[in-house]
Amino acid sequence: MSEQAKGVGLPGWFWQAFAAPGVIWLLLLFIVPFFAILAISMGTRDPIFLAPVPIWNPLDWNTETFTGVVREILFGGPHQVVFIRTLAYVGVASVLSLVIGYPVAYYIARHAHRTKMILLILLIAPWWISYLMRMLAWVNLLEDRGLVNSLLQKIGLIGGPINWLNGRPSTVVLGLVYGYIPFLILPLYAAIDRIDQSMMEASRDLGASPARTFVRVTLPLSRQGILAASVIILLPMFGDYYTQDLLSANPRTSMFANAISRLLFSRTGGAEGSSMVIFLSLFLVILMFYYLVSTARAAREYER
Amino acid sequence: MVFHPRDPRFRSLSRRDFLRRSLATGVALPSAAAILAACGGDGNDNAGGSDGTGDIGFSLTPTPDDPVTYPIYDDNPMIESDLEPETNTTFTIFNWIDYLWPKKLREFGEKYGVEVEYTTFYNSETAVERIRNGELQADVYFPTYDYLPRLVAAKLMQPLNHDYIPNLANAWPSIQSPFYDQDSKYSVPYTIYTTGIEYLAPEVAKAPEEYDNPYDIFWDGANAGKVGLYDEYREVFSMTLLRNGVEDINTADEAAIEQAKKDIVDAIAATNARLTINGAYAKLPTGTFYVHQSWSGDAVAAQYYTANGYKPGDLGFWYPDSGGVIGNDMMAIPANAKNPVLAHLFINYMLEDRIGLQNFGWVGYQPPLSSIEPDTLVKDGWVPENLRSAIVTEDQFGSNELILPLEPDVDAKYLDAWEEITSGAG
Repeated sequence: MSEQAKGVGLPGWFWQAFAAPGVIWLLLLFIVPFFAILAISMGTRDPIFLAPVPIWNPLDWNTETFTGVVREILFGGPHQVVFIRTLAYVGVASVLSLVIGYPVAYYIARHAHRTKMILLILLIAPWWISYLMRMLAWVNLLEDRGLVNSLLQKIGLIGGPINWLNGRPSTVVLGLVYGYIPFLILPLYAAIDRIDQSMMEASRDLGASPARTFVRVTLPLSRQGILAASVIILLPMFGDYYTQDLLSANPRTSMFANAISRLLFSRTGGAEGSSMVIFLSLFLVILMFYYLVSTARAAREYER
Repeated sequence: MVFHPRDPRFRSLSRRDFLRRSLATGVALPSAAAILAACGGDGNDNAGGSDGTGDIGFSLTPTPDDPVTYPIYDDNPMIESDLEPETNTTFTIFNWIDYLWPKKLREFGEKYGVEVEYTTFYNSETAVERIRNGELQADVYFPTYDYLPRLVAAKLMQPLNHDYIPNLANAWPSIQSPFYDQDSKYSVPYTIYTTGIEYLAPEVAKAPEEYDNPYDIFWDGANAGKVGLYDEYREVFSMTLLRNGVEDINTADEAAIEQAKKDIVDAIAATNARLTINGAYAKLPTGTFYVHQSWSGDAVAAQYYTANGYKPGDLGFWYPDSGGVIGNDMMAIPANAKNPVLAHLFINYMLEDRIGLQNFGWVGYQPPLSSIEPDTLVKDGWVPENLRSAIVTEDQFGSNELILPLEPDVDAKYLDAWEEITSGAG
């Protein structure tokens, strides 16, 4: 079949080669900066300034800083506090995003017939504005005399304005949810849309109620979509630092990426910051690995 | 590294700006490092290291008690007197963003018939790197006093020919020969600023002067949620050390640093203090903060940022009579400047009373010129009466402390403590 699929006379690698320039470019843009980060993390310190000096030869790499950082994250220290806090925020934000986003995606995929196009456009609309601008808009809304406080006071839910921006974890988590939920809804919608309608009709025909159909058929079938969408928002959330910067700026809500950015901006903390970057990358690789294994398994099941 | 009020990390909120600190900042100045390897530090003849007066001939960490007079090197001489200014050229200024009124630069260019260019840098490290590797041949550079000794030792700056700079006499006498450059051999002063407490008078429970220890305002829960500190470890530690009665803000005393760290954590807990960069001039005048650590220039600039019903008359600025934090910036000429004569003339131009005052009106940071007196500044409307204490006077320069660069091991203690504070772990 492969001979028929390819053009007559064209070598096997011909069509793959079209992807090569892009792939090579992306690899370079990823590998080279990452190698630079490794070189700084495994580098030495200038003895006078304690400023980081990169070592480019992997054979000379000095892993002292990196092991120190890992030990601190695993066994105790400021970095551990920040890491656990980040896990908590990202975890809660992801679950919240799913809980809010799944119904929206489901509705658009399954029930919005005439309004589907409009709803999709509305969903994509936030992408026209950068993440940063959207967060700044929230800063404006959440100020003491902002719309949120005015509204709540008018309804009578609160007596005086609530100071949302003074270091509340809830504000940061909600900021993360708001910022990343479009990235979750769209792939989720695509996955649910792809579910074969006939599966659900069969379930209904066999006597299952709508609720049971959802729980027993739709939800498991959309599991891959949920996983993919979660990964799409989990990965950047772990590296997010300006949500916290804009909505809180209080050290008690500072996240892992804030610590990284602080260290990388300082004169002497470059190696430590780079080591934290590597640690975060390794951690995320493990998460991605789980996702890839799960996808592969699902693909195998599907082909059975 | 001494933090600078014009560092645009503190001004801009763009993500691109946050990310733009390149890896190059981590690379030390090789020449300076090699030179410094011969130097033990601030001139102490301690055993175990080479003495500070070794190969360089002067201390790289001068203090008011240990001032430095730079040598003039044979291979880096000053230009001759009575030369004609360069023509048919582009005159380049290398400075922080928004730190010099572009109109004044333009007028200078028109006066001498040359094109002008204003190139900016984000921080001292990248600026010095660009000069060092010859990528940029700026004519005038604005260094910070912590980098000046190293720049001179590395022969990156050229000695100044005072025949071209008669207006240096307009500056305060005490700053014409400061401890970090006696006889102003390689630099002239540009601005001077203090770090004090800015507050919204109608909103705070008590004004700073009503406390027994004015700095205690940062620990008062009455203003909870409305308190801001600078996101810069040396500034916050200096303030806390002064509050605790430690006079030396560059102290190496571990117990003092540890106590300061605990106190800063307490302040954040008691008041929900936030660390910001632009809070003093951009957020306090709109009511987001009622109290904020502030540079004098930020307080002066704040009068233009009032909103939400607040007026410039609501602003207040407190600064101690003595023993506070003070800073100053300079102008210098790189050794590889293409237009050294014009550079000298420009420095002289900026030291003119009239020009300096006009530049202050735009920049907000004050030049240390004798003709600029608190009374004239208030009378002519540059600074409102309620912000009079944000005007820096000459006697303050002598009786207050600069944030000096620390020995690396001492710096590490401050940084580790700051790490604990900023991760909310303290």
